[in-house]
Parts: sequence; C-alpha cells; structure tokens
Amino acid sequence: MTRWTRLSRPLSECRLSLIACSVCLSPARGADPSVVTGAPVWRGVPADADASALMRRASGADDASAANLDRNLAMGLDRLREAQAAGVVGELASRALALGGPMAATRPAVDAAARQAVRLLREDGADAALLVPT
Amino acid sequence: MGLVARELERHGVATVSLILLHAALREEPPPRALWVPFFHGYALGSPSDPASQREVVDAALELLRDAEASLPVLRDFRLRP
Repeated sequence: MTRWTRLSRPLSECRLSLIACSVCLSPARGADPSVVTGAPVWRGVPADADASALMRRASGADDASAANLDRNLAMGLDRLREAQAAGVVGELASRALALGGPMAATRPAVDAAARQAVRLLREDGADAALLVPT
Repeated sequence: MGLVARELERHGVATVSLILLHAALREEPPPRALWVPFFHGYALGSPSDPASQREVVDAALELLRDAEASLPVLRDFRLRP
C-alpha cells in the first residue's frame, strides 16, 4: 500500500521545493559536460535565481521555444516567490531541482532519479514539493 | 514524475504534481495532481502572463493545503473566466 504524506502543519509554515522536468540551467554554472545522456542527474538552481536569466535547452520532444519565451513556464520561480511573499508558502527551499539531461525512460533510471530527489530534498529540509513537467 | 512523487511521499515529503496528460496517471498516479489544459512546454500556461501562471500555482498549492482530501486526488484546472 502506498504511503501518502500529509502536511503536519499549515503550508504557510512549510518549506517548499520546486522540482522541474525541464533542463533549466543556472547561468552561474552553465553547460555541464559531466551530464551524460541517460544519466538521471538533478541540477540545483538557486531559488533566488533570476528566472529570466535561466538558460534552457530542449529535452525530448517538448517545445523548447515555450520556456525560452518565459522561463517561468518551466520553473515557475517568480510565481513561487510571489506565493511565499503572500504567505501561502512558509519558505522556498534554497534550490530548485531541474532534471539535467535527457533521461532514459526506464524503471531503473527513474528509480535512481527518484532516490536522488529524496536525498536532495532531505538535505534541503523540504516539507513539500511542487513537481512541474516539461 | 509520478514515481518521483511517490518516492518523496514515502520519505515524508508531501507532493503535488502538475500533469499535462491524464494518461500520465495510469501506472504510477501521484497523490495530488492538477491537470492543466496546456501544451507540452507550457505547464504554467501562457508566457508573460504572471496572473494566469499564478492561478495555476495557487490551484496546485491548494491541493497541498487540503488536509481532508481523499488521496490520490486529481483536479482539473480551469482558468477563471
């Protein structure tokens, strides 16, 4: 039986992490040659990053032009900061996670990515996460 | 993303997922999903339209806030007229 988690306190007191399936890169880091096709690697994007400065490249068959028009379509960082400022969310985790590179759609690869995400969110002390597809 | 959500939930992190295709829920449904009527690459809706993007985010976060919801839950998003 699947175990679901419910927030133990109001969202307005929780730390929220953003997980995006699109390849958004922090300009400070730029292209990372260590990211190998098929390797499930999450990149950390500072939660206070300027969304308009994020670099993006296509992943799979999605329309890269969309997020190049407005990076918030892929990451939503500005919208989440607004939610935090409005008191809807307690705080944002210090980094958002973006899937860094084309990932093989195999169960082992997805499982590895899931385990990595758990480890990273634990490091960040996240209570909750918003997952955004590409 | 469904598997990622389920793994996070198993480790005590509550999740809400935006989804673009109902078919994405068939095998590994996440506990809380908000279907958005947008194309791939446009998960938050329209470019350079912060108000409508914020509606999407708020609707997703509302699923997290609803402590009484029976899980898994899928809600369809509709922009306000």
